[in-house]
Amino acid sequence: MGTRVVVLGSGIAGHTAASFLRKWLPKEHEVFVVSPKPDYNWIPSNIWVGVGLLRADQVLFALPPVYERFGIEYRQAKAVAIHPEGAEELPGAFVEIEYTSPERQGQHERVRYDFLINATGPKLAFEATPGLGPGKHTVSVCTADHAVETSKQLDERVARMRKGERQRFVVGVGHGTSTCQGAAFEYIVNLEFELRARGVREMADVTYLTNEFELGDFGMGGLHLRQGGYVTPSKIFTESLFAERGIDWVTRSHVAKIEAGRIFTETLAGEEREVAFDMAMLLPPFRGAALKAFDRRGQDITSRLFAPSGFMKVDADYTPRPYEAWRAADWPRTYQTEFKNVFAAGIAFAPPHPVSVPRQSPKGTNITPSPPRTGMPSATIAKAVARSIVDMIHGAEAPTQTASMSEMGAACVASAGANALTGTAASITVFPIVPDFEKFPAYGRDLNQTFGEIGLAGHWIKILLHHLFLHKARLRPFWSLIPE
Amino acid sequence: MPPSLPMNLPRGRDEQWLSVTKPTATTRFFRTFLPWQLLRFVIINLKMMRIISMGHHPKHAVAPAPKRALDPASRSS
Repeated sequence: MGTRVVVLGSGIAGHTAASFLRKWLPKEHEVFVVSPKPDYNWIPSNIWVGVGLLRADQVLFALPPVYERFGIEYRQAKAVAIHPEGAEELPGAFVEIEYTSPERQGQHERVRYDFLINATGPKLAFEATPGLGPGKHTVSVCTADHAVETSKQLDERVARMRKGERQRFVVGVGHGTSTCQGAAFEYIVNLEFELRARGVREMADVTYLTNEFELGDFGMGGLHLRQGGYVTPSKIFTESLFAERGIDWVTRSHVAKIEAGRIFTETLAGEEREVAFDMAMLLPPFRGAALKAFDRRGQDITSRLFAPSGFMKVDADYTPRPYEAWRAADWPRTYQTEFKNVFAAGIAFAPPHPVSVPRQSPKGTNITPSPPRTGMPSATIAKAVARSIVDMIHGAEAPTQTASMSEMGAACVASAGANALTGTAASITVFPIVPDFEKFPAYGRDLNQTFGEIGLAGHWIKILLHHLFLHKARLRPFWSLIPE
Repeated sequence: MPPSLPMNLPRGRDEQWLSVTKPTATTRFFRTFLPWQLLRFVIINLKMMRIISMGHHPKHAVAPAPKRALDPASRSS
């Protein structure tokens, strides 16, 4: 009898894992994807949807036909609970799912699995900050729908500026523990570029609001680059980029609440401040998907499988330690949980601790960016997990692949203005993603492999990546040759 | 095509603006100078391919996790 591998989620990690499992596993084994939304969203390009340069259908495509063509079983549903030991009335591990498709909305089903990959990604926790998020006082680019709404708001603001009304734009993160500063950075520089392109820049005040201690932290503790005979921190480059574009910035801030036109912040120094805005794009903190876990007798074992944040505990070292005692080796390598046939990939795994230095305000508010786990590392982790499972199905006793974020590098291209001749993007490589101060005592990273520059070439690469990754996600010819 | 960067914005409030490094006109010129950017396109792609190749683990073997160093003082920053 064939083995069934169930993948929860069809984002970058889930889709990568499912695709490679199907490619590598003989047909008698089943690859089964459960995901509440039927579309794949190439999220990095949502930035361009949010400034009106792309339509939603240019960053989305329907997954069911792709999965049908490729031989992957698909259910439009969300996972509700994992039963890694099965239940008394139903032996064998299973996951309980709740359908989200219109025809079966709300129906539950138990899906048996031999191996499970949790790639449910983040829950966008807008509720962590009163007034934050679409439908309230701010906008977002986290989903294609959000980005479309953001683009509409931008059009309205531009129309007002054309009538002579000055507008205040605030872009950044909406909570002291938010992550994804890279996306906020990309949105603000693209917004500023677009305001210039539309001829209204002189009517706009553009401000970056962040929980980072210094600009350029990006949730990864910043990075250092060799440039002009100096080793220079990313703070210098990010500040320079903002100053050059007339963008103001406010750092070290937790957004406590948002009302119409007003953002209330608490700073690391303990001050309470107010930032006025006409349009604000603030990213929420991430939590894990609200999954439960139960043992064979029906006892709740959620806290065994999941951290309080909702992310899944894997083979990391979660022992609480002060910052000075953090090590690269704390980070997970195989992403296997205490149950040998259950893995997490992408944003769904619980990091052992932040990467940035943890800081609290005098009131005890945590103002520390959470570690980023998106894009390239998510896909690399997913591919490693898929390969380990394939090898375990073929007889390996333990995971055969590792993909620690403290042992892998990342390449990132952050758009800073989209135009084929005048656009620019920051091209960055970093190795390793999580600093390893034992291997690289001075800066935590290999300066020979950590590099960054801004220019038109970066924009061309960004365009190339948009098309390549969508080609890959559609599983078109030679998709597997395109790196993660 | 977007006009040049808004260098004429009011700077009176901008201690922040005055205290940071800014690119020279030459640096800004080269950022969109086509022959130079074509060369950079090739070089950046090569650098990224190198990083990508370092991120993948071709061997199907799990190396033992490095043991924790117990002395936090060994950390240099």
